[in-house]
Amino acid sequence: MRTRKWTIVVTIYVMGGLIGAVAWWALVQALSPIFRPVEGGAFYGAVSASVLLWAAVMYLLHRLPASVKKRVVVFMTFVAGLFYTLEFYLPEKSAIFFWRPSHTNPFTPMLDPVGAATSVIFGFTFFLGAFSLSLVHGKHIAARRPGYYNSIAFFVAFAAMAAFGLWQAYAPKAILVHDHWGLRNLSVRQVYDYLFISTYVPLGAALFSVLAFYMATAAFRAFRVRSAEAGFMMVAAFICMLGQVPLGMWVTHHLPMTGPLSHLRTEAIANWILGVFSMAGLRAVGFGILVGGLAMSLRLWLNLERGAFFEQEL
Amino acid sequence: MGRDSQFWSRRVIWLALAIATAAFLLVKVKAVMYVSKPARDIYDAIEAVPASKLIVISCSWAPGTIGENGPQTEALIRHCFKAGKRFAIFGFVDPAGPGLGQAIAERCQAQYGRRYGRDWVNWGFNIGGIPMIRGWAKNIPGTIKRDIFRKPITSRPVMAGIKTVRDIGLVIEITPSLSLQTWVDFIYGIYRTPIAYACTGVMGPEAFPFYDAHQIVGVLKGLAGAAEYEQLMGYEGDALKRMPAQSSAHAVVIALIVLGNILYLRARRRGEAPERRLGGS
Amino acid sequence: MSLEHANLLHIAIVGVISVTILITILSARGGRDLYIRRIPGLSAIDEAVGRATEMGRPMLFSTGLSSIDINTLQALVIAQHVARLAARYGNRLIVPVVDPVVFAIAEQLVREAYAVEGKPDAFRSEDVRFLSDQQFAYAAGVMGLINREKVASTFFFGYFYAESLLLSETGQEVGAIQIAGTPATTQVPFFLASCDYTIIGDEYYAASAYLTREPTLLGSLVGQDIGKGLLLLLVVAGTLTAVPGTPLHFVNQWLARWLFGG
Repeated sequence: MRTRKWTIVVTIYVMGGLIGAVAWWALVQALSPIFRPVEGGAFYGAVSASVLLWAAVMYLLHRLPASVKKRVVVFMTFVAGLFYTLEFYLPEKSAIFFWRPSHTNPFTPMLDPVGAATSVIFGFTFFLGAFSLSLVHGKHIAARRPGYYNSIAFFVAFAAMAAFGLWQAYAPKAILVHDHWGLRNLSVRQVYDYLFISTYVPLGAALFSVLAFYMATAAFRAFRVRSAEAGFMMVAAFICMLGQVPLGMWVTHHLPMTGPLSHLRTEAIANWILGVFSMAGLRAVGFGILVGGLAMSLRLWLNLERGAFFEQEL
Repeated sequence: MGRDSQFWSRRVIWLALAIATAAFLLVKVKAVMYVSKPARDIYDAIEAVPASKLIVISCSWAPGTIGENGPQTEALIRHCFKAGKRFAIFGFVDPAGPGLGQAIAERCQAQYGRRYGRDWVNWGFNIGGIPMIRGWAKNIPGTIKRDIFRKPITSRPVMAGIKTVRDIGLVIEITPSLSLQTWVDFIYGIYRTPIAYACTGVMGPEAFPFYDAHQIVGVLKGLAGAAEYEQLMGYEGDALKRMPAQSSAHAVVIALIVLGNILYLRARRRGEAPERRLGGS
Repeated sequence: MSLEHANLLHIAIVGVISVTILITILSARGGRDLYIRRIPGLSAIDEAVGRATEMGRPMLFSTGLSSIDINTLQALVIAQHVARLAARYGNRLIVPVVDPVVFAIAEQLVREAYAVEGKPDAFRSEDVRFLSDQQFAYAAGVMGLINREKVASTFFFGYFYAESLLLSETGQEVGAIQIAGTPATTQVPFFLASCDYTIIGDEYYAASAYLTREPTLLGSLVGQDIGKGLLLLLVVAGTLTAVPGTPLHFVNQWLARWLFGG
């Protein structure tokens, strides 16, 4: 009974997905005239119409009952996954595509527009991040919480970087100050360079360099030889660390560069540890992670994932 | 160890590391690096690129990793300039990457008599991720369209004859992340275009499965990789200058590990060693 | 062998593993009792939340540096579990994120966790915040949050890069109990050094099964293990037959020529 139920469910999924994929393909073929590049007024008209159409679709989806919304999401997820699965697993050319002029895979030409559409959808989320930051820091300033001046600094930095970044991109030769306050011909590009090259770049590099200090304290505190295995690992770690730097290379510099003894040079042992043992371990862990990723992708695609938001009403 | 002693021991360790590193930045010590096979393989791969093909230097790094990826980018760009190889700077992961590569190339070009547009070009940052890379492989001018100065790339003499990924002789991915996977999957995997990888030191071990499987032609690991490349090129750049400081830092970390274990063994003998909480599996 | 479209080897390996996973899921749904070994890091989540509540200090959950992908989705599953515990015990959970899409999902998740536990008013919208999409700007922001809020527990689940040690050492400095899990193998040593509990490799993908004990997820876990076993057999068989002179060496050569053209 249960097997029969599952057979029916799987058949409905597969048939529904195939019908959805074929319907989508047919829709794309029918609508292909509107996917031709346009310029000028037609371009802006097309963008506006797309935004309005999208807003209308979103409104209609929002009005649907929760159970229907969930089914729509599950169906769209399945069709989207099915598209990429079919595109990859069906051959590039085959007699099964008998209706195509050169019997080529019908899904392959759709890869680029589908990918571009995905990028556009993700682009809508750009303002979410800026909005969230503005909200948090705005509340800090409004409530005069301790350290609210840092939030003022955020807005000043945000505005300055955005303004000068866009300004120098479109008018790099524009002069900000001709001859005032001791400045002569201060260009927008120069101000942008002060902000980005002279401020942002060193700040990022400084934070990365803090890593070295934290690594030293972590090494002092946590690397303890509690067993023989830990001892072996410690020796391997020392050799790998020394093998990357001139100090370690100097320790065995008297050994020849060629011949059997060359394998005992610090850098040779270090590269051997990295290229054999470490690589084998990484590959093994990688196999596990990839199979785990495959399983999770399968569960997401077939709506088998459970727990958290996967079972909630929309 | 009590809270106060932990507070001060951290600061002492940081000070010791700072002094050990700064000393070798202030005192000039000549570093000699022995070049590893993965670095030499990238050198040979660049030398082997024919004149009809372009090298792509993909700057997928952000300002934070300028300490490692910066010298790597400079060494590779200098090699391309010296060997007269056409190249294009490109970015698809971090918007800042191509601009940082541009600054490095502009600084070096005069020394080798090279000029932007004639010998090299910067395609700038291109959004779109994997779909963009797939489209780029089939039609480079159609996907990239304009360079970093907003001029059509087809107007640049260096782009003559470059239409698809078959006209690319080598892609060098310079990154602190695993964006190499995109190139291996969609460019090497489909078109067998040679790929090289220049990464931060911490990502070095991740490169070896690809290198061992011949999916990438070579690896530059961190600042040491950049120093090896400078050694190969025969010039003393930032990487070689900083290697004595890195040696000193490694020595300090090794000394700290040894010291930590000595103190731990002493405390264990006295019965004072704290029980470490369960960690890992 | 081009990777533009699948060949027989792809279809065989992925097909066999996928079918195995689906069969074990069906079997688990049929009522089969499945054992999952204890994963200390995941078991310690309750302890960490309890400790933070006792100390009256908030907690922090970082979902890593990747955009919305399977790593982040898994992290969000764990985040909601932690959020529900936080709501139940009346504690705050701060969730800094690096991606606007993740921000939208995380905010809804945490809000609903509090609502499900009957404490919708306890949720503070500024506790789920987008910091920056830049690696070290995000790290600096999280380090600042950990120090200012004096968090008692930190959870690092997701894909991390070099900032992993920055975050975990900062948590160590403030004395937080720290639990980390990442599929990024190069960052695991740093988490092991600084965190109290670390989840390694594909234990990360077992987290949802472990926390929910859903038959579907447990069945999938068994299927994954069988899949890994099959891959191991393939590796051993390939290694043995690759040695010239072995009886089945010709099979290896024929397969290599057919699949890889050389």
